Amino acid sequence: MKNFSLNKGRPSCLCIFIFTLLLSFPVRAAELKFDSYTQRSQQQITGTVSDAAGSLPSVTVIVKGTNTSTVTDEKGNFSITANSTDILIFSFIGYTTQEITIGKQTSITVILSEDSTQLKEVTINAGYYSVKDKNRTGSIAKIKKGDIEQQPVSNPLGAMQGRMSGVQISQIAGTPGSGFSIQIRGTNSVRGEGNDPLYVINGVPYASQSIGSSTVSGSIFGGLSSPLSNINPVDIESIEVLKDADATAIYGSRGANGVVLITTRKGKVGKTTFDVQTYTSVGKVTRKLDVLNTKEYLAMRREAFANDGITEYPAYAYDVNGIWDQSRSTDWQKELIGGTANISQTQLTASGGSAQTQFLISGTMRRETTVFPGDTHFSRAAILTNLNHRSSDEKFSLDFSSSYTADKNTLPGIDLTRQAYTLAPNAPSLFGPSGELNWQDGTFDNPLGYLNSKYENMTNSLVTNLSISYLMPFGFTIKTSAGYTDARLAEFRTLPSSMYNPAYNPVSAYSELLMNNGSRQSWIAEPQLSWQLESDNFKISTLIGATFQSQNQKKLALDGFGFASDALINSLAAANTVRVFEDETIQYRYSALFGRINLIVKGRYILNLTGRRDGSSRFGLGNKFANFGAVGGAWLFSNETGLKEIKNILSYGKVRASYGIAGNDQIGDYQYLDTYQVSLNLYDGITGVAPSRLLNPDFGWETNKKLEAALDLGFLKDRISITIAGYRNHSSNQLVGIPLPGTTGFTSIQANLNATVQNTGIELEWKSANMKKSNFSWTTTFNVTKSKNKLLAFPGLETSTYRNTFIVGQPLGIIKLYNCTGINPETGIYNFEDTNGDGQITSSGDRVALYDPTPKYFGGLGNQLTYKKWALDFILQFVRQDGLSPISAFPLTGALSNQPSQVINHWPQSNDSHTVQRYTTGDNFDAFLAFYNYTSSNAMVTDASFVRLKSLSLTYNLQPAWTKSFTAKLYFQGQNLLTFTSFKGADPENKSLVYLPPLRQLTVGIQISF
Amino acid sequence: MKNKIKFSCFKGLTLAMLLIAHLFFSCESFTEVDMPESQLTGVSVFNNLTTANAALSDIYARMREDGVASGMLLTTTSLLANYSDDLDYYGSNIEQEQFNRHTLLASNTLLSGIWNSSYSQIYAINSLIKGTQASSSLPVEGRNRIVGEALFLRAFIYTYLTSMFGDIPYVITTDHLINSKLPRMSQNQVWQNIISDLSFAESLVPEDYPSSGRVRANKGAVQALMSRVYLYTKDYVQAENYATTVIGNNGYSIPSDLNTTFLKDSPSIIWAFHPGLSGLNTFDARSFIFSEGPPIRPALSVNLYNAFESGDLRKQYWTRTVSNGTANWYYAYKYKQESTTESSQEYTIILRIEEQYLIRTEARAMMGNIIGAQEDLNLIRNRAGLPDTSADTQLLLMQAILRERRFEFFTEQSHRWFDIKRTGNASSVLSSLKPGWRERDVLLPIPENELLLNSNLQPQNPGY
Repeated sequence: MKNFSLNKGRPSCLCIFIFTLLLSFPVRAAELKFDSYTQRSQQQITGTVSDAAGSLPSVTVIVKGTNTSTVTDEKGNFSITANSTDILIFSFIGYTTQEITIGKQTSITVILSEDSTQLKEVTINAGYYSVKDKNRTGSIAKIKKGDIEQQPVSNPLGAMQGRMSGVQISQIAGTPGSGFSIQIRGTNSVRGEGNDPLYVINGVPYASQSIGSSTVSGSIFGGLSSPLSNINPVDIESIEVLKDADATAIYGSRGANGVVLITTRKGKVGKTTFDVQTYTSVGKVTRKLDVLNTKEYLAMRREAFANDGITEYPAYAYDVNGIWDQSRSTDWQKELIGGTANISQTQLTASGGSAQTQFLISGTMRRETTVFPGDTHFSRAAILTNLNHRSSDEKFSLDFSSSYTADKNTLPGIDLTRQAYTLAPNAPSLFGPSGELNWQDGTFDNPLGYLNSKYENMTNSLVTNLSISYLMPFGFTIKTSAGYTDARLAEFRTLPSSMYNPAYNPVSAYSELLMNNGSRQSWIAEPQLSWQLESDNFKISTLIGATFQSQNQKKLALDGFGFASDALINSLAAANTVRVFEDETIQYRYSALFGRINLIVKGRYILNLTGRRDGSSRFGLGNKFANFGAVGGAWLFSNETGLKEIKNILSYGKVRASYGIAGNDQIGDYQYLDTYQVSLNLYDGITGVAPSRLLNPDFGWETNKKLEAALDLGFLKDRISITIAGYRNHSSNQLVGIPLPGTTGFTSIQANLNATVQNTGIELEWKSANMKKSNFSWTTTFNVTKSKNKLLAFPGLETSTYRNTFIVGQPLGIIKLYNCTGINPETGIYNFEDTNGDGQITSSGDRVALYDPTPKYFGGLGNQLTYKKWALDFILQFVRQDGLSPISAFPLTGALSNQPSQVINHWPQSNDSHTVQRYTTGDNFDAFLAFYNYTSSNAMVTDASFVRLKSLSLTYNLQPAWTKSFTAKLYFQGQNLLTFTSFKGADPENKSLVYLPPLRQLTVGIQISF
Repeated sequence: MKNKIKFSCFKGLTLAMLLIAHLFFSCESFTEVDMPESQLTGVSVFNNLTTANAALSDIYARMREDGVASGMLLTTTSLLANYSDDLDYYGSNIEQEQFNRHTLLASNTLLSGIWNSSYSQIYAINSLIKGTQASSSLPVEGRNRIVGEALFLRAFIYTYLTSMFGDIPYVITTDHLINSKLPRMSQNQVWQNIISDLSFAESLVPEDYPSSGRVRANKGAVQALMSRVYLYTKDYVQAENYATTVIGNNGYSIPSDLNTTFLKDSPSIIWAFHPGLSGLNTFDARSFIFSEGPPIRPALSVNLYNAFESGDLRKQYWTRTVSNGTANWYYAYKYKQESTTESSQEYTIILRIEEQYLIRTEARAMMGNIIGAQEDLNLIRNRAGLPDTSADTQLLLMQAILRERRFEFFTEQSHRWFDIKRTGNASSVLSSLKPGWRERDVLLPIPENELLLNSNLQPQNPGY
């Protein structure tokens, strides 16, 4: 992208301005429509707009060629000042736009007709600008409120699953507050945490990195608490995902992994409406893992001891040596994760407004319990305020929004899922005769001990945005958008002595309280100037703006221990000793200059140029600034005169393509500094300081070059619309923590990796209105994405520390595995291929089989049916992928741990068809070693593809005859209702045996408006 | 008129754009941020003695938490005590079980934990030595002391690493480009480097302790380690010399009451770890003491318990029995404070004077000085309530010394494992006790991940 990689330094950036100026002025001089705009006799025109069913509110009425416009009120009436020679344009989404010459009329009645082709008139939010769908040059996926609101999710990403091509989302854990992993068009970065997209809420970037402390939250979330779960999904009007260079390059250094734009709800013109939505939902884990029952389990254990030649069971083999009752049989999954999560949510909204000013205020309350035993729950209160104002001359506008969320999450100290799978089925009961925790004389690490450990977090999150714009003469608009975010997290975890097996001799002096207070404030200011010129044959839009963003983050984590009594554990003041273990202040500053030039010629040739120059405090001197940009073009060939004749068949046709460069700065702060930091280590009265990192002051931006070509087609008056997009992204100069051997003192160093990763893919989106009758309609949407990731080049790979991790020409996500060649019929032990022929099986020499966990293709199929007052809506999500057999996550087959039931098929039984080697307790070293190699072998790779009925909802619309202003919707909704898969593990979506699977939820809800 | 509007508009637009441009570029410094409050630049740390000492203290503290001599469960001391015949394992940690049964895999994460934390401490030591030596603003005395202590700590860690792994990469710089490609150095060369570091440290570190207790290295600590290293490398003349020097130091003496040996003010201490916060005691007590049977953690090996000579007071004072009515289990009771106390009572002792006697007796025995050897050995035995040794040949004395060291140092800093290994007795001692025992076990495997990341470390130790 030579065009955009201007030389560093000031003069080069001025070039952008001059370029913009030069480009805009000749064009501007060519035809200046506004010059001919002179004062003539003006008059007041009034009228009514309606459709077949009655009056139409909110229809936009514009005096053609001017900026004068209004909207109809709730009765469809409007009033506007215009000349007799003027033409009025009446437009409303979903209806055919009509133009009416005023002539001598002073009162006009208009009847608009519905038009499915108008779908292409829908405006898409592209962040700094919006664009009509038909004029779009980039790839932008969108979901709307209607797709989100009936799903009982607490995280907006949960509502996006299966609905967007190119966007792969999976839930990490079914615990409330835990995160989702999201990848937009594949894995760009070698670093797992470097693949997050940029989130923008109403124009304000929202940091998706947690301010939690992993020491405090422990393993409960499968990572850290996700800040995205602090966004209230029902307050969202739309989510747009920007995918290609054309759409993302204007986000420069933060656009490489795509951009997720979240727009919250706004008030509408009309009388004040009150809206109540309430639902209640019950959830259970989607799938159970098939494990051994007591009889099978004890048989396995006895055989393991016999195989190892042990006749007298050792003292610690409680399950078989008689200490534990061998007739007990407990379904631990039922006991520990088999509960029912109850979710209830109520949202109240008041909205309305005049043509000038609209408002919306909404409040949401949510409460969610978990499937774990004990009192664990998540609760939320959220308030959204939105205010929009236009001056009566439509020149000045002000948009304000503020969303505030307060969440409280109380969870057990750890996720009990792993215990639920691995506890021996004859392990003792959880409770003793008088209801106390049963430790069976110290032989049983009672998992419910962990329930005495509590994790609680309270999060308050505020996102506000104010945007002011003024329409100046000659097509200029000046706009300033400013935003402020404030996120505060207070979390603590208690580790009372009562959670431990009494055999460890725990006393309250060991009890521990961990707490963390994190906060992050940021502000952003973005002055912008845009200019538009439209004539019959062309339309030019330009935009130039600057960004200033500052973010301050603080974290203080404390650890208190030595309590006089467990009862005092919630009070840090009662701790004998208090230690600070994280004390962190992080400052992040970011500034940018961006611009866009968009040219539409003859309504069918579109060119879109975007560029951005970014500076970030995350990089050292000399590396702070970089340039990004893209060029996008589209040809609306269906508008060509030659094709007008087949307009009835091919109603819409567009090819578009884009190429550009975006970047990634997700590397953490201060990484270029050579510092010592205050450590937590006290020694002889001195607090230590320790080297923070291996120094590399020279790392710079990661870049992502994206190429895309797409075809948008509409058939039969757009009743069928199809989009096919192909992309090829090259990510290079990656910012990674290059893994280092321990001998360097660290496990990694921050640096730019001289490797190129390619992501290619094809996306297909289909939407069809299969049936459209007055009583019955049926719409189908379908999307599928096939993606491929490949390491294109890696100079010096053979001598680098990635030597045994990556292979040029293979995907980045591959894992190298041993090639298991079956079971030795004599010894009953797994055999592996000795690839390098050195006589032994070694990790560096013999791992030649490849496993790639990333999905091959994925997508969703949605259907929407309406019949009279009924609506049925369902979406099937499908993913083609590989996973690992559950055996890979279990301890040794034969050890004191339950096992997945497929281990029954073992040597020497089952003739030659056995898949599992001889049982061993670990005393047979060869079998023991073979087991661990087996868990890292290709025998573990299984099909983990699935088709899941992600969401199904049935809605009944109630509109009583006696009033027009009252409507109600009753609905039933199911989430993750059915899963079709041959996967042997627990859940194919999170593929985890450690974290709680996603929940299957059944919801009943009602929505009333009046 | 038309032109005028156009012109003024042009001017306005230009002005607006220049304004934005100005804003942007005048704020190029906008992307400068303050230094984070909890960090210091690398250079400034070594500009004054307080922060340089804080960097040194941090290394001591990290060695206490997860170093080769830490008493924390799942670190070297407890793992190698399980690896030898000090402890039996009753817990459920699969990876510790691998040490106990001698089914150790190169992928064991406790093993890579030992490796990584040791080299991480060595990096901090190298960085400290480099920074201190380069600093011109530190007083010479202070600078010498810091460099000397750092060299001592590095030698200490390498002593353990080479005793565990044999040939090891020997890191003395902070340059990751070099350190990530280092091949292994022969064990002989490693020992030579250790000795030269210690000799240099001996000349830099003064006699006094710069701390409230004996929690930092002084000259005595350096010499005590030197005698051990000479013993390990079979340089018996020097081993005897250095042991004699330390024994001759008035500051150190053997307490007669075995109950006081492991108290923080015990006169036998040459070097101990400060527990950090006041009121904390040792990790060792928390790791080894248990109250119910069967235990769910390591317990003293029954073999060891039964091997004590009758009348050995160490069995009485330093071990305890737990019974569930039908069976007995035993634990090490050298450190007795499992919990916090008003003020700290016990520190984890790394070097104590008793070892110097046992080093000297062994050196003397190996050099044929039977009488001298018996003298030192009897001193240790008599204090444990045992009669003089009957061993009167080199061979018998060597057997007696090995036994004596077992009862003296059980569960202390891997002594037992190194003793049976360096005297060539590992196989005869362990093959009957550990069904998984193989000859290869005399060396631990190099962590698998290291071999994957640095191919110059190939080949793996034999048999893994």
